[in-house]
Amino acid sequence: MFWQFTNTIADLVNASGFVRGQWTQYLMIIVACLLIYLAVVKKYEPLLLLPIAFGVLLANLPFANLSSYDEKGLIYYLYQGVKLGIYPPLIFLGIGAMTDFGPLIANPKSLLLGAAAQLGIFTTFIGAVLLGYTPKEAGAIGIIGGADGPTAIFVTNNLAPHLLGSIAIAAYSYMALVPIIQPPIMKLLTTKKERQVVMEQLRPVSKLEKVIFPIFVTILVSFFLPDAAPLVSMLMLGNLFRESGVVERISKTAQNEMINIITIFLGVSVGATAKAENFLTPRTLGIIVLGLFAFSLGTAGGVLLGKVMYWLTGGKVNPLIGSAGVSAVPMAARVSQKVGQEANPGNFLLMHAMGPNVAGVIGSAVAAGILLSMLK
Amino acid sequence: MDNIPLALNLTFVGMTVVFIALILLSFIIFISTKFLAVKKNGRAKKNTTKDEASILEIDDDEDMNLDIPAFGRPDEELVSVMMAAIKAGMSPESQCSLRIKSFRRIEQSSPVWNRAGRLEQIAKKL
Repeated sequence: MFWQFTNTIADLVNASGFVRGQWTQYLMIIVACLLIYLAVVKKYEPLLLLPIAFGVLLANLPFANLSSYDEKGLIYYLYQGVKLGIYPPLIFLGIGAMTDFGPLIANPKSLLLGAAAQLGIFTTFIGAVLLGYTPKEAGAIGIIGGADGPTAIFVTNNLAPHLLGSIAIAAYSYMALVPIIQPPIMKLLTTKKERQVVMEQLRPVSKLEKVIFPIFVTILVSFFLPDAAPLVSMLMLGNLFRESGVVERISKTAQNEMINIITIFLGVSVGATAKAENFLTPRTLGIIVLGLFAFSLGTAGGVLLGKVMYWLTGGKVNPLIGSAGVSAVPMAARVSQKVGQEANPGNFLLMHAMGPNVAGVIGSAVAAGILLSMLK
Repeated sequence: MDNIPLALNLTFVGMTVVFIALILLSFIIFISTKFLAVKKNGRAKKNTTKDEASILEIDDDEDMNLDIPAFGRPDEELVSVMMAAIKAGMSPESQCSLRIKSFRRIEQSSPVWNRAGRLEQIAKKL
C-alpha cells in the first residue's frame, strides 16, 4: 500500500513540468517575468507589454499546450486573428477613432516629416540583408523602425511569421523606451538655437475638412498601395466615425471596448508565439540590435528633415518636431514637447509635433504596403 | 550578398514612394483647404449681406412714433442695441464673437402685416 502510494507520487512528479521542463523554458519564464516587471513596475507600454509578457509565460509552460502553435489549445484559436491579419487593422480602427488629425490638416507640410522618419525602416532593411537575414525577414525587422506595433505585427505575419514574437517584443519595448532613446539623438542633431524655436499657432480646422480627410486618404493610399489598404482604410474608418459626429456610440465602442478586447487577444497570442526554440536564438539578439538601429535612424531622419525645413523657412520650424514622425503616438510628440521645453521653458511644441506624429502612422502604413508589395 | 541589389532597390523605391504618397496627400490637403476657404469666404459674404438685410432693416415709417436716432452718424447706443438683439436671437451656447462694422438703411420690403406684428411686439415690451 505504502509503495503503491509513493510510486504514484513519483509518477506524478516525473510527469510534472518541474521535471520534464527544459532549461530553455525556465529561461523564457524568467524573461516573461522580467517583461511583466517592466510593464507593471516601470510602466513600459503596459497595455500591450503585459498581455504579451503573459503570453510568453503561457507559451513556455511545459506541456500546457498554450503556445500559439499548439493546435486545440485556447491561444491557438485566438492566434487565428493574427494569422489571418484581422487584429492589426481592427486595432487601427480604434486608433483612428482616438486620433485627431487636425494638427496634420492645419499643417500639411508635417506629412513630409512623417515620410522622412521612415528612413529607419529601409536602411535597417539593408543592414539586415547584410547580416544574412532573408529579404522577407529583413523587411519584417526593418518595420520595427516605424514604431507602430500593429503595423509591425501585420507585416511580420505576412513576411516572416516565425519571427513574430521577437519582433513584437522588440517593437513594443522600443516604443516604451521612446523617452530614453530619442532625446540624445535629437540633441545631438540640433543646436540649442534650433531647439528654442517657437512655432506659429496652428489655424483652427473646420469639421468639413476633418470629415473629408479620412475619405481622401483612404482613396489615395489604397489606389497607390493596395497592400496598405487594410491598415489605412481601418484607420480612416475609425477617424471618420469620430469626426462625422453622427455615430458617437460606434466611435466610443471603437475607442474603448473593441480596441481593449482586441488588444488582449493580440497581445496574448503574439506573446505566445515566443516559444523557447523560436526565441532563444542568435537571430533574436540580431533583431533587438537592428530594431534599435531602425528606431534611432527613423528619429534621425525626421530631425534632419526638420532641420532642412528650419533652414528653408528661415527658422520658423522647430526641427524637434521631426522626431515625432516615427509614430509611437502620442509618446513621440510628448518627447518633442519635453526636449523643446528644456531648451525654452515657454515653448509648447506638443500640437505642432502631433502633426508629424499622426503623419508617421500613415507613413509607416505606406512603408508597410511597399514592403508587402515588393517582398510578399 | 546576392540580395544587396534588391535591398538597395527596395530602399530607394520605398523612400521615393513614401515621399511621393505623402507629398501628394499634403498637396491634396493644401488644395482642399484653399478650396474650402474660398467657399467659406463666399458663404460668409453672402451671410453678411443677408444678416445686414435682416438686422438693419429699420422701418422708415414716420407714423411709428418711435424714438429712432438719426442715421448717418455713428451712434454707440444703437450699435449696442443691435448687438444685444443679435446676441439675444442667437443660441445661448453660441461662442461666436461679433463686431458691427457698419450699418445702413435699406429699402423696406416687409409686408404691412409683418410690420404691424413687429410693432405690436415692441410696444408690448415697452
